[in-house]
Amino acid sequence: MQLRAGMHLVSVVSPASIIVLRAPKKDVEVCCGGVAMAVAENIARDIEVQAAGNGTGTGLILGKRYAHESSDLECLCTRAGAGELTVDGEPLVLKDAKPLPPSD
Amino acid sequence: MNLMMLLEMATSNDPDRAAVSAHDLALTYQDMYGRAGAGASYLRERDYQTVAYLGPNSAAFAVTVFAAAWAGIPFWPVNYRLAGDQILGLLDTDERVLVVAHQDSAAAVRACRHDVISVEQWLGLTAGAAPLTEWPSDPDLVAVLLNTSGTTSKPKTAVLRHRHLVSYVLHSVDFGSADPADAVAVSVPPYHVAGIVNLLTNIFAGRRVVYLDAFEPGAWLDTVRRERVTHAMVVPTMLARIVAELDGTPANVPSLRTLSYGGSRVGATTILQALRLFPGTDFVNAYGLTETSSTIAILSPEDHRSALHSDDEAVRARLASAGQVIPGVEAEIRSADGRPVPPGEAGELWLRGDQISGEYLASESPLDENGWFPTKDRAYFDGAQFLFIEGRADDTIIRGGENIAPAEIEDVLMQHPAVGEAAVVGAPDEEWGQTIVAFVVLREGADADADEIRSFARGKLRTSKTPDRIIERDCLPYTDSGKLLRRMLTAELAAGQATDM
Repeated sequence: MQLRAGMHLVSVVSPASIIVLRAPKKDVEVCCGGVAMAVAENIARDIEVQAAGNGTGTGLILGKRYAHESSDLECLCTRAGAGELTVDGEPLVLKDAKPLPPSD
Repeated sequence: MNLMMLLEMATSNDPDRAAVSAHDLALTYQDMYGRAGAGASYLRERDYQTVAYLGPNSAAFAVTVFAAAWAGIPFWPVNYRLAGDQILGLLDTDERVLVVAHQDSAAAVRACRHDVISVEQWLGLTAGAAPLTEWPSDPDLVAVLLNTSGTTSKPKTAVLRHRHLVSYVLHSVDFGSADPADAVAVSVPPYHVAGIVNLLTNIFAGRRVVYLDAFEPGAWLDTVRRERVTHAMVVPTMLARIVAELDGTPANVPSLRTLSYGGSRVGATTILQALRLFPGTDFVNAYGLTETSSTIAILSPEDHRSALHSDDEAVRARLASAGQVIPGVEAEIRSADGRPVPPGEAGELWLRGDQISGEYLASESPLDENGWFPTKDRAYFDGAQFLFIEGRADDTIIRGGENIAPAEIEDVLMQHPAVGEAAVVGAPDEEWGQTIVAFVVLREGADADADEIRSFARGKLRTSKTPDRIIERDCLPYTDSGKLLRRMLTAELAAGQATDM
């Protein structure tokens, strides 16, 4: 799938969802818990964190950035949930935040 | 991508954390989320296409921002300080608009063609439980409409879409990074881009927003002490008034960790005094435009400190710079023929990035074919990527073929002990093309004549940059966010209303 910055992807194995911050130039497959994530057309309003689904592996942490260097994919977790995040089979790694001094 | 995503994330992270405190109400994240949903369903049921907010900073303002986002319609904060007929003129649109108006503005909107409800009614009808609806995720929807201040030309309506604002927040703020005890004092008005953006960034960081409904320096200092405010954002005129209020006495605000300022140029004297009066506070200078979703460059606390303590003239000069461009934004200085210029050379500042809109209502996009936005600000980079803003390109005076930035002359004039404020504009001239006219406001009790001020300026500037005329005024015209209204001075000159000192 060709990703775009701003695209919202939801896990089908857990409540996890991500937003794409930087998209790879080539087509890639992004999976959560080994199953391809779906593009969210409308974001469900229910913010109650549901019980974890059948996702396995390291869970996604709300508000954290994940990146994959060789494909140049970067995303942000918008909802926490179980399941390891991968792109074309390779895991994304948690990115250290380098916050700017608060200017607003 | 929707602004609601930011509020939803913050709410699920810590629903009971304080989100906003204001004169009208205090709201937790869960309260704000619920009210946004209730407000959105009210807006949707009645098919409103835009929601306008007319009033000072308040919890109702914050609720309206998110209710509009949830409903997928633009939020439009209107300057409540405008005259009644100006407000009516702005609101004269064919769209179906709901106007949420503060009681002080009720008279101004009585003759308005749209539905008007009071802030109290709005807070009443958003107090119910959030209904089960979804917000649109289309990143291209318009999130905010803002009337630009129009310091040099007729005001326009800038368009910021969800993708612009969300991109800025995601690029520059670390989610949930604020301590639960953190609080930010907000005194910029709600119709200023900084008023919108700081709500979003502080919500995303998890920092409580403390609203001041009108700025007064004594009340600002009291609020910082009483609410144990850790962060604050002011425009330069507010900073100057706080410095004047302190009158040399250190501020005594132990809780205040960061004070950010921006919105227009700051006089070097003001910032040096402020640094002395707030010894325990980090200073941040932010530069940006309405059309760029606010901040695109930052002068960090470390930059302030190194500028203050350096022996190197070039490093010290950076105190007057806008700092360095933030991640996610590209900047280029271009000459009049469109070619990029090397560091040290001034030209027009062009910007590109996900947060850059540049779009105005009912106008062609000003972006070039590669997505670059011309800011109309004249600027240059030094050798270390620090950005120096000289002012609006339209304000540049061309005298005898030489480009002269008014700011450079104003800075020199304000170093004269008798001069409190200065504004420099160009006047049409047969011989030179333009001549330099300086308007000055003398400090209380101070005395100086035109010759003395001119020779002071000549001692620090080239003769070609020395003001040809000096005109004394009691005060200078500013917008209420502190931007100098040069066009009013130019109009006075053209009408022959100004007499030389």
